Amino acid sequence: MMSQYSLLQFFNDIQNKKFGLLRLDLSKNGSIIASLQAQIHNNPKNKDSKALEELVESQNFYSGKWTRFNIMITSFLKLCRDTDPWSTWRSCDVIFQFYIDLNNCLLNDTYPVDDLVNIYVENTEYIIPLAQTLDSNYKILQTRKFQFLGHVSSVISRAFNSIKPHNIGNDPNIASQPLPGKQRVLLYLVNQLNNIYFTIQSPQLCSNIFRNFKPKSSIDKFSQFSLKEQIEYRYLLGRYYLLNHRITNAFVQLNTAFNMLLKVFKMTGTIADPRSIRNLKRILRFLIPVGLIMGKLPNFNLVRNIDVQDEFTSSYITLIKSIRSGNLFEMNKWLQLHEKELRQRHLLLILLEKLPVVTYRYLLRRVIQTWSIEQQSNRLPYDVFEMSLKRSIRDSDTSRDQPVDIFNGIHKSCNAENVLVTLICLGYLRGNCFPLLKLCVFQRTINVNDILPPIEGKMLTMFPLNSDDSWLDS
Amino acid sequence: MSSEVSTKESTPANGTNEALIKKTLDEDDQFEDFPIDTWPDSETVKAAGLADNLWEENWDDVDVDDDFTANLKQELENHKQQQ
Amino acid sequence: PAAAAAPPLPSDVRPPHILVKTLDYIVDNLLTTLPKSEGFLWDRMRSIRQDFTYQNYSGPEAVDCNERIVRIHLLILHVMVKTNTKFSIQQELEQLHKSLITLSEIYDDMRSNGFTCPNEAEFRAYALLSKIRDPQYDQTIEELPPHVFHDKLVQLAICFRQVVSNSNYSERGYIKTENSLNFYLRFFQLLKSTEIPFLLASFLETYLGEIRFYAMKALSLSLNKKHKPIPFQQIMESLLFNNHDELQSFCEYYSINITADGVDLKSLTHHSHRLTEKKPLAQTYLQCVDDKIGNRNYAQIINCGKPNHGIKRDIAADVEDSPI
Repeated sequence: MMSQYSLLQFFNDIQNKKFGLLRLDLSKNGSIIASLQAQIHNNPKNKDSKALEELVESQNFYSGKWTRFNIMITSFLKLCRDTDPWSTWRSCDVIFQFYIDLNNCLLNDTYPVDDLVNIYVENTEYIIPLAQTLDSNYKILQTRKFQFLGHVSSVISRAFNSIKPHNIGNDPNIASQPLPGKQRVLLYLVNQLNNIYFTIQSPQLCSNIFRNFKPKSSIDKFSQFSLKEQIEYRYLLGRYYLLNHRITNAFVQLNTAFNMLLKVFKMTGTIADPRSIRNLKRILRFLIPVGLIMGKLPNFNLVRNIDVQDEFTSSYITLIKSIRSGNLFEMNKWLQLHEKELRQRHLLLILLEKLPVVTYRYLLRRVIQTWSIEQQSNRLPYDVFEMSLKRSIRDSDTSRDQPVDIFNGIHKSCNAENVLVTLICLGYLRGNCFPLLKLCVFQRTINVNDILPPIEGKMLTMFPLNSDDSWLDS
Repeated sequence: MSSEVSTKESTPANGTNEALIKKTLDEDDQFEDFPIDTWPDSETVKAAGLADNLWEENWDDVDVDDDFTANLKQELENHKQQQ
Repeated sequence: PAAAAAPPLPSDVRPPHILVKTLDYIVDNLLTTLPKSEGFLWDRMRSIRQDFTYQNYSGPEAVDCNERIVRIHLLILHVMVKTNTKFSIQQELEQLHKSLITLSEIYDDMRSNGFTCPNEAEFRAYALLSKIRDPQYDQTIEELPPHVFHDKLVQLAICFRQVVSNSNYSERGYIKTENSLNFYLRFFQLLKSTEIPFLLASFLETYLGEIRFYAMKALSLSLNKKHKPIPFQQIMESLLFNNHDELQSFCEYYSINITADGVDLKSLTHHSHRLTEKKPLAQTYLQCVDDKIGNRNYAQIINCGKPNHGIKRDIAADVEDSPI
């Protein structure tokens, strides 16, 4: 055997702040942990926890004033002592305990916590996938579904909560000092927490993180954070808005994330890298549906370059055809066909609610163009629209016995007036209803866009962006 | 009747399939580590000008040419005649 | 009990099977005393739920009792309004929401242990209606297994959520969202149809006022300034008022002018259905919902579920989560 790494050396290295030794990842740190394990086991005197504690205390780290630091080092030695390299499950107690003790060291800023930030991040990178692996076997382990990952999130959120802004605004002396370690990783922690909340199916927990991120930041311009983290933040924020049905806000965040990422890849010449393509595709999966709700049309040449395996491009082209021709039946059929996948991404019900108005608008556009404008009329009788709706919804061919479901239960051609009223209230149709005459009346024009203005502008006026996010553009 | 039985039998299999998709979706939606060694800074990216636009300009007037539209148009024309 | 009150002695907490019997007694003997007994029933049902909570019990008896308690609250909502008896709808809804939350938690728990509750879909449907404008419930229902999502009642409840979604809905703490349908006509068509069972319809009756308000609001926004009043009959038919008086008091409440010809919708100036300066408009019921009771008695309506004591291990769920 090679010469072993000794406890003495370990303590010495810790004195010298070589905290990289505290890595959890056995593939990187295995030989050191194994050496320390052998030594602890060889010396019966050191085997019990009390003795390890005393041994650590006797090193007088940080003059013995930083109790949590000693606890953390002891915890690491216990981990060395008890870890079973063949079973993460049997080792997970000591692993998680060490991670918690390391996290505890970061909570109180009166100690030199900066030294530990790097190893904390590194171990966080290790512990999240570990928790995910354990959680994916929860049935066998008889744990709750997201027990480990949930636990990790509560640990990280304590570190997040401990971060306070220090005022750099007015004092040039402080401003020139390097940023404290926790401030450097603030956005990293924010993204980790938000990612976990999505994974454990509790994305509503993100709201607290989004709300407290800016107040905690000493950096006053968002653009000073790492670009990579900025992009991921916007991606998660966009998805969060989407879950809460806030379309314009979701669109702006996802679209900005997409554009930034695309630009970076073009500038660095890495656009062909499969990983960068996959990240762009991740954004598109949510961005395209949001764009469709805003009546936008994607540039499919660009989309195809990203969705090379055609996971969704052709499929969305079919959907867009049905929307733009005003065909509600085909639109519903498409939703039904992709129900499972849409449901799993939480896109089904939002599309079901927010896409039809766009389809109705295109149908009405066609009808007004063909019926009213071509006849130089400024009116549309309800019955003409109703007839068009019948063709679009095809509700007359569904037999009466068919049970009501989400695809056949909502849209009925007999409710033509209600459709017109809704379009008028949303600002998508400039006109008036005359219920007594069963007639819709609008401006006399040859340009259909005067009667049905583009959706996006109307939407942004009625649903302004969240002003809290304006600093993301700083 | 026989078809009903077969649907029932296929349920557990569908369930498995679904779990597979679910798992891959959850993990798949998370950003993966980016492959670039040196990221440009925000200012450089801002200055770099526009990326390719994902969205078509003037999309509203892009027309669809399909059976549904043709039939609807025909029906509206017929209706005009009958007035 | 008040927050400060000490927890009861173990000897004072009734065991699960006694709680079931207590509820049986209520269902079999006391429902017929409604509306008079509403306050008493409210109190007894709350105490049954509390006793389960005290002993931290969530077995089949707890599922059964909570389910039937939800149904009783739904029945009470209709009966009280129909008989024009004074009661606190807030308190009734509060207990109803709490029971639904308890049930959702138990169902989730059962599922993660590989069990399926036979009546889950029915109560997931009610939960969807209990926070009918909260997007978070969309997320919850999308995560449930296909047999729940595709259940007839769940599908109906989703239809109603879509139909009442409204980009002009205005209330404190509520964030308006884009492109919502506000299909008020469809709301009443669906409600009338025989597809909608009584208890679901009874829950939806609690939204009548706001649906009618936003229907009139939307109409008023789409009418030309000079538009004539809309005939009473037309409004009564589309918004399903039981009679002229009801329509009249509705218009009076929202200061909408009435003329000899009908309702002058253009005179509606309020933007929210909640008028802070006034006490809420009295709840109304629909004759068509009352007709859904048919010739069933109240006990039959409440005891309509599948038995919970046979809660089954869900084979599909087991397979579903096994590692690959």
